[in-house]
Amino acid sequence: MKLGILLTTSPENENTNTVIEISKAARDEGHEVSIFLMYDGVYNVNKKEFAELVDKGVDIAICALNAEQRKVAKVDGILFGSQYDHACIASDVDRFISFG
Amino acid sequence: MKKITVIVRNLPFNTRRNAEALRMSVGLTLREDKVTVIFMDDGVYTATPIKPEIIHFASLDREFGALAMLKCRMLADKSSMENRGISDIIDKIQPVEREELVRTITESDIVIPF
Repeated sequence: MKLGILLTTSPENENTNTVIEISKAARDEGHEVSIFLMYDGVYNVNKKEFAELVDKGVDIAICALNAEQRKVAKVDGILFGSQYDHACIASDVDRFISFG
Repeated sequence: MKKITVIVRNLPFNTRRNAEALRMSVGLTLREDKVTVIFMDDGVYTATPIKPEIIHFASLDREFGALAMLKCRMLADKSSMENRGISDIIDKIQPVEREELVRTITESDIVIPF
């Protein structure tokens, strides 16, 4: 199954930990996971535990416009994309969860 | 084609979330999914013909125009409007009963409260 996740809150919010743990659990069960970060959610790329999801096989894309507005620097393995990437995730996944 | 519903519930002037919700809604149409935007609770203030540029707050006219051009439904919760004494909303947005909102949400493949 393909799981899509939208995260729009910054790392101090408990949403971040929930997204990390859901993503890990889904990957451990063999599901595909794609995460899109926008609004204050783009700050999560600076959190080590979150960025390490890439090593678990999670696809992470972020809204480059929001990242630029917040001076968030590029991180290896994370796509600095656009709202089109979000549209693709929403359109292609079997289940979609929003955390905001 | 999926049905995607975005719900706007925040006040308009203490956050950029509402503007971002509308920008995201425009983006979600790029794969030709059917996008509906619902304004409810304090979000209905965003549906009123306010002039945010007077206080140097970015106008949402461009986002509303794009959503209308893309034929996205924009609905306002009548109950939330009545509770706040709001009778005048932007003509691109349709006031509807809560039953209609429930039907729209339950028929959606994806619901994004923003």
